[in-house]
Amino acid sequence: MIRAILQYQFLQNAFFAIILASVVCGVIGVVIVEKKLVMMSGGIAHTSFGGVGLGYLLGFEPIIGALLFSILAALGIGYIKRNGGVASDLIIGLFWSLGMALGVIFINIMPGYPPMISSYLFGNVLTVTRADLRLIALFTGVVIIAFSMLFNYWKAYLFDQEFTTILGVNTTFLEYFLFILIAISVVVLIRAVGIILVIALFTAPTATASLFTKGLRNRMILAVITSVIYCLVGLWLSYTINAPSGPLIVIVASIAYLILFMSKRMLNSRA
Amino acid sequence: MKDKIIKVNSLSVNYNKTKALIDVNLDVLEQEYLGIIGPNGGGKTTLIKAILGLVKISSGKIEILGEAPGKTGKAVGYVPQVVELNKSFPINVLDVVLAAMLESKLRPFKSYRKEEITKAEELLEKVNIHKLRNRQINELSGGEFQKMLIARALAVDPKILVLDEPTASIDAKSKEQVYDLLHVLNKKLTIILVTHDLLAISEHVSTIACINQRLTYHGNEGLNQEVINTLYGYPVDLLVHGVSHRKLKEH
Repeated sequence: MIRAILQYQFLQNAFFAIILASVVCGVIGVVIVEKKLVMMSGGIAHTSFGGVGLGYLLGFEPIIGALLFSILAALGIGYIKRNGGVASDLIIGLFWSLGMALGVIFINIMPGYPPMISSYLFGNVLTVTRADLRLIALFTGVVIIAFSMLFNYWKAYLFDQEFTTILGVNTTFLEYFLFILIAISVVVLIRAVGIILVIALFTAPTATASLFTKGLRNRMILAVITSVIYCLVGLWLSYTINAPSGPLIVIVASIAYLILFMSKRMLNSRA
Repeated sequence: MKDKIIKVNSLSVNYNKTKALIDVNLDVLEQEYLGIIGPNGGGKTTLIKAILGLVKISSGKIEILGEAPGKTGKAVGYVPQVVELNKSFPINVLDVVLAAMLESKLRPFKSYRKEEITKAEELLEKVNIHKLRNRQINELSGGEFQKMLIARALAVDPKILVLDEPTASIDAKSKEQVYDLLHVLNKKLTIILVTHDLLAISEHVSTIACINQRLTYHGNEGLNQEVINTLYGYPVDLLVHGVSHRKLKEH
């Protein structure tokens, strides 16, 4: 496959998209898991499908629609969670299916042939274009810079939000900022694994990394590396057996995590 | 006459339609060691969170050193309940304490200065867990975790130290160490201690406030059975062991 990567532009694009997506899911994935935002991220991802549909209907780039909808979902869920006093999983559930429903309706009422939406739902990293790649690189850059710029603040906020608030730090800002970063990350990952499978890429590499690392920074770095490996193996399988890449990446990631988890358990119980 | 460091005037706090606190009046003097007791859900934690500016006041007023809650900067050090924290979060002991050094204004690429690190290490020394400074927090015992939180609270150089159930899940020996530490700190600091530990209250603190939605008792007369029964609404045994403890009032 290495020769093929050197030879074919689409494989090169896929390769770089995977690296970028892995950087994002390693960093944000750790945050999502530790802050128990997995379901919220799922909600944001699914809501973004409404934006994909709107993009097709009004004739603009669907990924921009996805970005718009996921940011709105992130802010909406965040706001209601903070001020509404409603259980947040209820709100997440509503956004989740509302976004999907809107997407289906928008695509249904658009004139002409319906587009191939499965690459948004299940991802197809092999169809990533140069333009997509530039956008993904931009988003990844935003997430990484935002995160490293305020690293110690994030660490304090993630461990103990109340204490950080008492220090006078604007944790409301940090919270909304985090939700927006999650929304941006979701959009980056949609091209790689698709809306429905995003959660696996947020959680499996992070969970794997948590088996072997202690500190926050190391965990993020290992999660990035793990994600690259899972994605490349998935991509290689996809190339070899000619099946969609998104589902294969998710299957590889999940099975690898389960095997590592079990073997670590067995080693520990023997020791 | 000592100065009033915290003034709570007819404070009420509602969560949606539930009344958590009704018309609470409470003054805390400088260097007071106040113990707050009361039944679960009685509003103890709500009261201190109102003082810390973490919950919205529905009516009434709180002043801390003449300022509104949340505007006191670093005058108040807070030790939260351990159960509210994610004990498996990937962070080491030193970093937890260092977090208290963050400026309130977000400073891009903030890294901790040498003197901040030294200060954090000294505080860990003070609470006797300096050798654990590079440990991950999930490797700490209940007592060590609690001491780390106290070191973090002290790192803001507070005038007032607020602790929520600091001895809830720790062994007897650590409990004693925590109380000894608080006793020493009380020479300089005002301490507010929320606890279930009725015995500790009678033994260590200088004044007691009993909260069950309303402030049902506040004073330094020591607890008697009557006060306790009114507070909890049913008889609760006040166990007194040994002779070294403060005598409870006859009734």
